[in-house]
Amino acid sequence: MLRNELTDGDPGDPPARVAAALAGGDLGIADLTARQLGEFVGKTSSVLYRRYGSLDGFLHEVAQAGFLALAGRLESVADAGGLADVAAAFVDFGLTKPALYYVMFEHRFDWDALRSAGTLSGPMPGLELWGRIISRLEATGSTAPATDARLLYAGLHGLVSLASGGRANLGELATSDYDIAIASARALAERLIPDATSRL
Amino acid sequence: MTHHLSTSLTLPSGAVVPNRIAKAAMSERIGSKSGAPTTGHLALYDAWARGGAGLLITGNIMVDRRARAETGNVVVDDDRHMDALSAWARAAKTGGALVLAQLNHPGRQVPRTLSWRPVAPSAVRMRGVYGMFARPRALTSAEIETIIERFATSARVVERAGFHGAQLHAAHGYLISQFLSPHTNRRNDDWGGDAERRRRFLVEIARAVRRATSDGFVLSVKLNSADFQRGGFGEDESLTAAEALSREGIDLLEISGGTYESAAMFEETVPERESSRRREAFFLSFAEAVRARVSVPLMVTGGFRTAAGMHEALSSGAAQLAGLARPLAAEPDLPARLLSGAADAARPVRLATGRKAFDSVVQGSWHQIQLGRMARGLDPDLSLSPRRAFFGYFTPRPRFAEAARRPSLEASAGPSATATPGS
Repeated sequence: MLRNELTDGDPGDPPARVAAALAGGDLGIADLTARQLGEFVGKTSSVLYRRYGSLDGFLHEVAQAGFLALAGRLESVADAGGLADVAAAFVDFGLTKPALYYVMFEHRFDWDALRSAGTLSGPMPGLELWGRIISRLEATGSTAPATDARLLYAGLHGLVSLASGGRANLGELATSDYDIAIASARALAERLIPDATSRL
Repeated sequence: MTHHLSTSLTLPSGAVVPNRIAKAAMSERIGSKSGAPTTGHLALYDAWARGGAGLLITGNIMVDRRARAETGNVVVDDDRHMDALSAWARAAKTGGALVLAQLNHPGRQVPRTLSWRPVAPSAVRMRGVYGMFARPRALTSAEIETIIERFATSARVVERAGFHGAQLHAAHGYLISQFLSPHTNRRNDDWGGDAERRRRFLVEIARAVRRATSDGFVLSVKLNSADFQRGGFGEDESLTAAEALSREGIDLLEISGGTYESAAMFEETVPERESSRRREAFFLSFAEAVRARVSVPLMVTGGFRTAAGMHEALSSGAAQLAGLARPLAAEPDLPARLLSGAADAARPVRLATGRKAFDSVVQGSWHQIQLGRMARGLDPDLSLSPRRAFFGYFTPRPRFAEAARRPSLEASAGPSATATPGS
């Protein structure tokens, strides 16, 4: 650690910095090229390749930073609220940070290449929370808690995908796609767990 | 064990530091849009004042409102915030500590979100962090003189507000540090070209501050041991700068190191010496070298976690003050507990995410969140998970929204303001 102070902040590890920039809107999906990202972090694309193996290797680290941030967000919600709040927070994360969410959930990684290059490191951050959700599902009578958790995961991602494309509204509601997706996320959680509003 | 820590220290100006533990500067980033201190500052410094440190150094205060290192910085470039500054100084002094206002100009180290055209000794762009910082333009000689006067004005104002003294931030890659470094100062005029001319900016600021303030005003300088960059400011030049500052009669020299730029580099890291690990303090070896050359009291910050480590550093004579920063964001009363013997070390704060590359971000974010809690009158939350802190890094800092919601002390300040911290 260079400095023991907060005086100057910390610009952060390059993937974390890119992830934060994607989350904050300073970078967009169109910027996900080696040249653009290299310029953003102040290095040539060849340095990126050397350090991360490939653009995908770098983006995978960006995604991991995103998953860690998402886990932190969901954990803080879970500590104070129930599954419905967690579900709503997931959808809110996806809809308010679309470029980062894209890298995390929609970018097509060449998994085989990443695996053979040895750049896949560690599990997706935040899996502990899914463990908590599965435990709650089991405790509230789910006969297939892991399957229910996966349905929730798929449903929430589906809501983000539909709402971000402007297709969440089936025509019956005069409200925004964001509001529909959030309400639907809560409803989905409540379908799975009767007391979805009580603390996880 | 606590003997050295609890001994007072008389500075050359005659001011007395009641014990040897100092709270080093941490950027609070809770100032109002106009750069005024807020009730958050009162809450923070009330906690630290009660925490027992003998010296409190504020987070960096900008000397020019057009050049802010971060959103939420306090700015002192005239006396418009005098009442609020006075309230801040009063809050910080309630425990009997000596209180210094850290004065700073960021130079080129200004995020582009705050300035698209920062100034610097030379038009040398930040490497490795292009996305954050714009290319600076070189200052003219007249502008340099103006900035020197700005430091003097700020010092005059903080003295009137009740601060015991000021610390000039000449480290970490900010403007004074940029002048010192041959990497960022490519000038060949009165302000650059050789080591003496590169440090002239710092020396002139020290002289201007001395002229602008009374005899008893404490003047400290925070200096890099090195900026850890090829072709940059190295230990030899730093030692010579320390000698020059000693000749100027400064009261206290704080030793630090690094810059924003070198901290962000991919491949380059600061060589961490085995002796530093063993003795806790990162810059103690350099402090010993400084001590061999000058008699000015030295403060070493960075790495201290135990009373034994601080005691050893003070006993060796290498440092006269042990600086703590991050530990006091988690435990504001740590100095009092170390001094009384109720604690012998800071509580270990383990902030591992499982992905080492992200841990430095978590470190910064976790401690910043604790400062935010203290500014709202809450205790630090030591159970805050690294993941939650990491998410804090992704939450865009509201430009001034949070500060705007916090009473700014601008209209009225005083005892009533301290009664409602962080509301």
